[in-house]
Amino acid sequence: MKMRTVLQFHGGPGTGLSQAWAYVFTGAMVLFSLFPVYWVLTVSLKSRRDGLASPPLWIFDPTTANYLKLWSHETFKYTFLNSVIITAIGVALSLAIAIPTAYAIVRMKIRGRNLVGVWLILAYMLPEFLFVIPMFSLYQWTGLYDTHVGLALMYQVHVLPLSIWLLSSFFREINPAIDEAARIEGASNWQILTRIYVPCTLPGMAATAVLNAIWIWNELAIALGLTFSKAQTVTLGVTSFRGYASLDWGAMTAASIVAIVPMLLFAVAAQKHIVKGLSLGAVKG
Amino acid sequence: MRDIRFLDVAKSYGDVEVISGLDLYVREGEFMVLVGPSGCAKSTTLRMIAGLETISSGDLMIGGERANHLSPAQRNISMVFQSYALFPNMTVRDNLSFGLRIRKTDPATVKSEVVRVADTLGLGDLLGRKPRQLSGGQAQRVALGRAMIRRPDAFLFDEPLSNLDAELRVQMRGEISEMQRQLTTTTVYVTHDQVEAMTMGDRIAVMNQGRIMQIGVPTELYEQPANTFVAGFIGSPRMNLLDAKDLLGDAAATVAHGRGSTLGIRPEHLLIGLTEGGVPIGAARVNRIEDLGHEALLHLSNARGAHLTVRTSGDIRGTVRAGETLSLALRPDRLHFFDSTTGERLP
Repeated sequence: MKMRTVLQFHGGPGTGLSQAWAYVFTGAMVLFSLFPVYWVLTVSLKSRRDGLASPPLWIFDPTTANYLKLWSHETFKYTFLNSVIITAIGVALSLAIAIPTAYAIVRMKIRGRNLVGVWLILAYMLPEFLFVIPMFSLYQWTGLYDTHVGLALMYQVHVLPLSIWLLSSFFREINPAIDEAARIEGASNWQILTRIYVPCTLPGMAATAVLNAIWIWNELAIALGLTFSKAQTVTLGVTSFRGYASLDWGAMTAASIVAIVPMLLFAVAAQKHIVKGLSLGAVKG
Repeated sequence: MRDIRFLDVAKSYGDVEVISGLDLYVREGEFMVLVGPSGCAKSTTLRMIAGLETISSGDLMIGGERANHLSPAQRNISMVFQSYALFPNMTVRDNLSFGLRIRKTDPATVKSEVVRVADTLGLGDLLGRKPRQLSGGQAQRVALGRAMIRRPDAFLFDEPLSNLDAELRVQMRGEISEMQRQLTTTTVYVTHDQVEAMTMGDRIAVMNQGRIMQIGVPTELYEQPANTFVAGFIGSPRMNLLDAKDLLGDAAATVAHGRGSTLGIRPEHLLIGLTEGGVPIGAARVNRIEDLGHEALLHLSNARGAHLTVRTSGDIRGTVRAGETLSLALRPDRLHFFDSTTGERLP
C-alpha cells in the first residue's frame, strides 16, 4: 500500500494535473541520467572522424570497429576478468560476514550492539579514499598490494555496513518466536541462521549481493590506490585508453559500455528480488 | 514425563521485579493452566520453564533436577506458541521433523514418526504444503504435531488458541485436552481466557501481578475463591462484589453475621421476585438487558446505588424492560465473604 501512494505522488488518482507534472518531472530526471549513457554509446559506435566532429553529429554511420578493437586489447580483457574475480570474492566475503553479524545484532543480547549500529552508519559515511593512504603502506608491507584478495578484502569492508544494515532489516521481519521454537527443538544459533533465516530472506540476500556487486564493480578510487598492474580493475582498464599524448575516445567509450553491461544484466535479472528485498523491510502486510 | 516445580522463584528485568516468591508444583502428567489478566507474568513463568527466560533467583526443578541453567534443548520439553511459529521456509513435513532431524534421529524413524503424528492429527494431505498455504486451524495442528513428535517430558502452551475464530477455538480446546489425556504428558497451558482454563485444566493457577492468587481444581476456584481477585476473575459474567451494607441494607446484620464487609454473589445466585429459599434484598431498577438467547443478563442498580448483575433464563424475554423495578432475593448459602482490606476469603 505504501509503495502505491509513493508512486502516485500527492493526491489520489483523480488529480490529473498533478499527475501530469509528476510524469514530466520523472521524464526529465530519466533523460538527465540516461543522456550521458546515450552519448557514450553513440561515440562508441562512431568512426574516429565522426566522433571528433564539431558540432557533434546526430546522424552517422554506426561502426563496430571500436568494439572489435577491445577484443584484441589485452589490458582491457585482463582488467575485465580481474573485476569479475574481485567482485565475486568481495561479494562472497561481505555476505559471509554480514549474515552472521546481522543475525547477532538483531537476535542476540550482546553488550554494545548499539555501538555497532553507530559504527555502521559512521563507517558508511566516511569517504573511501580516506582509507587508501594508510592502507597503501599496510598493503605494501603485508604483500596484499596489487593482489585480487587484497582489493576484495578492502571492498568487502566498505560494503559491509550497508550489507549488515540491509540484512538486519530483513531479519527483523522474522517473528522472534520462530527462533525460540527452533531453540526448543534443539537448534543452535548457527542452525537457526542457516536453516531458517537465510532461506527465509533469499530475496533480501539477492538484493544485498547485487547492490554490493554494483558498488565493487564501479569503484575507482581504491583500485587506483591499491593496485599497480596485476590486480587492476575494469574501471582502470577503461582509463588505459588515455595515452601519453592522445585519447582514443572510441575505444574508451566502447570499453565503458562493455563495463556497464555485466552489472546491467545482473540488475535486470535480479530486479524482481531487489524490489521484493528492499520492500521487505518497508511494507508491512 | 516429569514434574515441574518452582521454588521461591523471582524474575526481574533490571530493577523491575515481575515475579517474586513463586512456588508452583505441576505434578507428573497433570494439565496445569496458568490464567490471569495480561501482564500478570503467566507467559514469563511459562518461558522460564522453557528456558527462554533466565531465572533471577530461586530454583526451577524439572523431574527433580535443578534446571535453572539448562538450555531449552536440554530440558526436553515442547512448546506451542500463540503465533504457531512454524518455520516459513519448510513444508509441513519438515516442520514436524525439524526437532528429530536436529537431534540426528535416523531417517527411517523420522519418516515413521512423521506418519504417526500426521495420522493422529489428520495432517496426511498437508505434508507437502508450506505454512502460508495453511488455514489457522491447520497451522495450529502442525504446531501441535511438532510438539508431540519428540515425545517430550512436558508440553508448554502459550495462548495457543488466541488467533483462532470462536468455533475452531472450541474444537481445538477439545482436541488439545484429548491429546493430553491420551499421552498423559505433563502440561502447562497459559491463557487469559477463563473458559479455556475451566474446561481444560486438571488444576488452575490464577496469577496476578507476578503472584499466584490461588491454585486449585476448577470447581474449587469457582465455588471457593480464595480472594476477591479470583472471585472476580473466574466466572463470566463476573461475581458481584459489594459492600455488605450496599447489597443488603438492613438485612446486612442478620445475613452476614458481621463476618467482614465485602460480599460476593454470583449473578446466577441472585433471584428475581420472591422465590423459595431466597432472602429478599429489596428492589432494584433495571438499567440494561443483555439477551443472549438461552439466558439474559440484567444490569441493575438498587436504592443504595450498588450495581448488580443478575443471570436469568432467556424465558423472561418480554416480561422485563429497562427502567422497570424488580424485587431481588439471594441464596444466602451462596454468599462469599471477604475481608474488605486484604480481600482474602473469610471462613
